[in-house]
Amino acid sequence: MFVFQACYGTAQEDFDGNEVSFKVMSAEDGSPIEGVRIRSQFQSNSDEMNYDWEYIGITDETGVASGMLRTSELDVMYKFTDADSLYEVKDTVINDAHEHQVEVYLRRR
Amino acid sequence: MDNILRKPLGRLFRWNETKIHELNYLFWECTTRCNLHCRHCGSDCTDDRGEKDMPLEDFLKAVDTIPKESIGKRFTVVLTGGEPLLRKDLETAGREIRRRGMGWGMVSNGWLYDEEKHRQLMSAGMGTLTISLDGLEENHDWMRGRDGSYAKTMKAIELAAKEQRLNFDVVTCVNKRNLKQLQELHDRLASLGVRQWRIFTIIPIGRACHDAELHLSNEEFVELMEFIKHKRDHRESSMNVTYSCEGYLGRYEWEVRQNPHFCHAGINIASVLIDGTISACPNIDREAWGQGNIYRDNLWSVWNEGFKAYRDKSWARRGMCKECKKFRDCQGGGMHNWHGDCHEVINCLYNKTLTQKC
Repeated sequence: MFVFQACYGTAQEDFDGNEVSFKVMSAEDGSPIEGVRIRSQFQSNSDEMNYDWEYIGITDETGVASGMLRTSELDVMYKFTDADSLYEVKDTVINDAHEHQVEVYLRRR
Repeated sequence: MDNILRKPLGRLFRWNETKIHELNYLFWECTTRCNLHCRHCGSDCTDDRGEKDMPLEDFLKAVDTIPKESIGKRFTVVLTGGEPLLRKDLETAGREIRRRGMGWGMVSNGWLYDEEKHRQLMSAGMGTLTISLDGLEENHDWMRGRDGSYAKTMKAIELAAKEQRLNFDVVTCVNKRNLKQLQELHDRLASLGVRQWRIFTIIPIGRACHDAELHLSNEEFVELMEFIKHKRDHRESSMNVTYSCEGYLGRYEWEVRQNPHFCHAGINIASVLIDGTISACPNIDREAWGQGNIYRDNLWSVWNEGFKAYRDKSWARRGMCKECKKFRDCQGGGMHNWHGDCHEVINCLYNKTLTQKC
């Protein structure tokens, strides 16, 4: 009925989501790729709904990145873009990244 | 809500929340270091107050005493200080909090909040953010004790306001110098797309104690109430303007905010302070109202067995509150209004509202 906010605090929040984790590697030799920017987009069945791409994270030297996915819906499109444009951009729907670390392979251009 | 029903419903809600005593809002005073030197700082923070930041693992150990089944959907951890952004491990802290099924947010002065930091913190699951803006450039920098603060804060506000996923608001401490700037501030914030603007006045604690320029006269306070009321009545922009829930406001009680006054400290709110003290809001007198310490007590046990004086405010019927007819709805105002030996409330907003508007 009533929401509250501590006088000197932030608003309360109502977060619905999961942490997702990826390991990004080269499709050619399996080596980890650093600096890959990962974004997500919720997939809707409705043509009228447009969702923005949300930033998830950037891979570290081991090719690993994790971040918060702000939806509990499962059909999420992820976009993987490497910083040096050495690899092709990959768009793919993944629905289990919140359960375990998902391995993703990028092809060289 | 129907005008006749809202008062009893408000009381019933308070009674019920007090009885249930659900912890769903936890402050973490993660540092007392600060890169500004604000005139109104209730915590008296400086660039180096000599206190070390609390290690994240110490805080998490305390948090882990809270049973999973007691962590509700709206449980929010609020990082405060000092300036939280001075810590290097905020992302790790955020992720760890999320892994425990809690939301998290931060109160910041905005100085260090740039695009990269924004991305990092959003990626770590930050869901709520409050940034302070205390006037137009000259007044804000005067209040904050550092030139250039206004420019950096406005950039931070612009960045956060664009982020649709963030529950973001701007807070402003109104004082004698910025009272006449509120309309211009309103217009600037609205033009940046800010959706929530929360206004409060300064209580005489910490450094704010002896600075007369910071405290509004009764007439000025009523002027402020009228400003907020007007903004809420006329909706000049899509921005929601409210007065914070600091105390009972008499005739303005339902005019300047959505909810009736109800101090949730110790009823839904706890805090872990820099030295491990377990309290409610960080601006509450920690010596008078501290309930334990995470370095010797179990946070969850303290929550359940302590905080009795927060839930039963009958002790506050003293001093000017003793015979006050509004006590039933006011309950002595916010707990932060009871300092030192607590023989008298330090700030009565209701009394201020009794002044007629000009």
